[in-house]
Amino acid sequence: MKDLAERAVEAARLAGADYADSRVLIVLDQTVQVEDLSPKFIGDQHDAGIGVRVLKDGAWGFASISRVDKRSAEKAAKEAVAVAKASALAVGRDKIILAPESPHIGCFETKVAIDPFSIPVDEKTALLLRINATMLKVKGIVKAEARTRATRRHQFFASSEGSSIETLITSVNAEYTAVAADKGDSQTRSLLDFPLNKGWEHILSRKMEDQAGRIAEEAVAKLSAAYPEEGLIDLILDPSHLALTIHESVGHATELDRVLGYEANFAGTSFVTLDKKEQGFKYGSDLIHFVADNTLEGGLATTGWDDEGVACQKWDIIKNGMFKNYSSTREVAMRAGYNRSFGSGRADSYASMPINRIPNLCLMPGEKEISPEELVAGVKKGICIEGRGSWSIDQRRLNFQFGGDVFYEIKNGKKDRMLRDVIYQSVTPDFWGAVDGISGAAWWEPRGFQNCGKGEPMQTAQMTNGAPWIRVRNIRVSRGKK
Amino acid sequence: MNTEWLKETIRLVEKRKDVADASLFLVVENENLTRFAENRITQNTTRHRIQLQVTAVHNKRRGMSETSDVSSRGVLAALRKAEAIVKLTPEDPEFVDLPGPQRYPIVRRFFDQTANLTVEAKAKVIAKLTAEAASRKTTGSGIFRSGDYGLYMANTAGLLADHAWTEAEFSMTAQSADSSGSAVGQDEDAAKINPEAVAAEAFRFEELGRNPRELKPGAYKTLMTARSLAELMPFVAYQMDRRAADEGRSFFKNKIGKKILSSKIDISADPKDRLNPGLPIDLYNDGISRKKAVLIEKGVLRNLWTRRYWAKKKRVPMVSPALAFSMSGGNKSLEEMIRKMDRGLLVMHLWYIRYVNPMDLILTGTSRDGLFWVEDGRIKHAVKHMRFNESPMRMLKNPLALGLPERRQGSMLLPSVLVKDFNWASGTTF
Repeated sequence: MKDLAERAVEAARLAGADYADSRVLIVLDQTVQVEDLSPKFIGDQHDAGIGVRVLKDGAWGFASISRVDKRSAEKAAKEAVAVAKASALAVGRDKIILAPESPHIGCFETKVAIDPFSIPVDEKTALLLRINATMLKVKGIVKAEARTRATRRHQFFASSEGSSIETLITSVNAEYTAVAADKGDSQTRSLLDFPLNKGWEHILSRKMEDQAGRIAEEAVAKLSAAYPEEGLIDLILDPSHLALTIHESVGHATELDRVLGYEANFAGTSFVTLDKKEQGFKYGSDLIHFVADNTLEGGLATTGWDDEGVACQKWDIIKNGMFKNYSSTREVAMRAGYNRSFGSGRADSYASMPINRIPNLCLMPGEKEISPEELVAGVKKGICIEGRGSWSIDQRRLNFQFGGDVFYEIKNGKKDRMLRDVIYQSVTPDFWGAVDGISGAAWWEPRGFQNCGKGEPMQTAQMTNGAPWIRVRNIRVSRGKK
Repeated sequence: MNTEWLKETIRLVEKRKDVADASLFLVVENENLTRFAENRITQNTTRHRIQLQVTAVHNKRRGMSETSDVSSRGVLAALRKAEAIVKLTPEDPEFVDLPGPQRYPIVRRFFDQTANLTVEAKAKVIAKLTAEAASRKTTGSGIFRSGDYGLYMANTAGLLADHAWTEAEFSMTAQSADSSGSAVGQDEDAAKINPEAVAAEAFRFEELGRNPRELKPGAYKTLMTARSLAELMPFVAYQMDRRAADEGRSFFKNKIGKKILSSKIDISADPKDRLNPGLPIDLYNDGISRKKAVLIEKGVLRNLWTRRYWAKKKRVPMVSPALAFSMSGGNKSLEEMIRKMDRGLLVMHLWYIRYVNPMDLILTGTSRDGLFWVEDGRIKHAVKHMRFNESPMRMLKNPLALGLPERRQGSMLLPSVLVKDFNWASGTTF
């Protein structure tokens, strides 16, 4: 495989490429999906191919093929150069220049205690069927859905700059949902996905089966829960909820390619314009410290090197509430004055070009070991939100609206009755500026996402967005039901 | 890959299988997508992809294995893996047998001029239109995509299906300091796409969008373009599942036979629709032939999509999922709809739409690339973008007017729609 990656680079050079890199990728994916007591999908997916990226006369060309052999490697390389020559017809005056990166030769492998592919599919199916059976036993539950997925990506990267990198990345995930219905109304409650680059030991550590009854009972309880009072109130947000708020309002907003307009036709731009880096910008309260860390153990973007051959790094995005840095690819890094990419260029398959993706982006815990209960104690009238619900943000990443999975009223410093259909709206810097409490490291969780969509053609990426609990003051809350 | 390959391969599987039945599902993609931003090409991706799914069926169980290796050796290896999986799979209480031979409607969706569109031709169009964007002091971004695609299905019960089609798409966004306008053209036939016209529309609305004024959020009469409606309606179509309705977890519970929309509205899904041709194979139901389905007739809900298992259990007709559909409308163009409007908002494009409450079908999202205040039949000024919380079902229950249907996203035929009190919930800063 290493030979094929290097042969593709050489073929591209011979065809006239000024720069070339190639990725030979073999992906094994196993999904088990169960609906009620019916096994809906049990299967393995094996996908293999070569992608070759070249620069010719300052313009990009990329070609891919779903075959892994010498002829296909050479064919993809020649086609990539032909595509780059076409791109050069409309590259303008700003020819593409890559930020420098020393050549790397090495291997990286996810630490795995229990290989998820060694667990037989009947064992995985039986686990999910037991979970669904438990949920369906709860009166009022009309539907139970459960799923588990394991992925292994084995990649060989080679570049004309001399890099030769092998990576073996394993990730696992599992989730389930109970649906309750009664009198023309319906509510759901989930044990949310919690993907990590780890082995089956991560799934076992979640004790999924033990929580199925509670999850189902909470789905039923939501049907008779009260609606929230509308207006400005304080919120307590748990890590399983906050991860998505971080992802949408900080992660995407600080992708440098968006800032430059590369996603203006699709995923959108960003309010965090280049002047905010030069002049300084107050993104949130002094407590806010966001760190990008693609070396985080178990992080979904922890891959040793990115898909441009840049070593994974750790850097500040926001510190003491002030905006510090973007995420970047080699192509855009120098546009913001960086002399090296932060290593955020990733592709979702051999058939995609690497694009600027959100790194493992984490809100750091507070310096003091404040518990969630202590945060709640500081709220006279508020709502505690756990899990994900509805989410939407404008294309410059300012105005957002989020729901959640389960809500509790807070009265005089104590968690009280369950609420339903809560949504809150805010504008990114106002929201992060209103945070006045952050829990300690003991309550921090590395939540993450496996289906972050961006780019044309659309690509999905994986990253961890770790979070503690936070308290945020005076946020506009309304009912998500009319 | 072609039909001959499919016939030969299913014969091989029939001969070598170690289970009662098996099926093959092959997807082929040959596509180039040229992407531009900052008035230059920033990405240019060519793909040749093949993915084959082999399903082993035995004693009311199914096991799947996918591979990109479609050599005889690769197919047999995937078959062995699927067989190994099916042997570990518990019996499926919702199992349905593989369907037998089918007769498919003949739908022409393959156009040589699309398959033969070159990367050079696309780059030249982009060079010309980005130069024009620059001369207008705007930055142009977008894509020019073309490709040919194929689906091939076969099983040991005698089903054999193939469908090849082409797609072309040109989209462009023109941006300036305080405005953006965008437009898109998409069809199976590249000859029906006019990139110059798409760019002209993006330029026009970028210019009209300058100096936007803030408007207090609230309920406003709103004219929604066909493009915007096409962005909302998939969220409705996705909910039109009979099983979800029967189980009480959908907006459509107990609504079959009831009037739920304006009597001016018909919605149907027909692969043979001349103006909106679609896939003749039902991928959600093991490849059976797709028939015309009437979903809404004069505002009355007639059908919900119903999978084979649920249709058999409930003794109701099977209805193929209708994620591609056609909706009736009027005969006025968007320009005529604007001219007939007294006061209200015109929304060009919607962004980041999500369910707020699936049971009420309330959706949220924001306007994008053009929100305008219309007065006395003319666009008066641009408005800063806003977030909405609104149900398309409420909108379509009492629409004030429906425009001429347009084909959008290569799968939906929809009109523009003028609604009385569209709920704009909050504002953003641009």
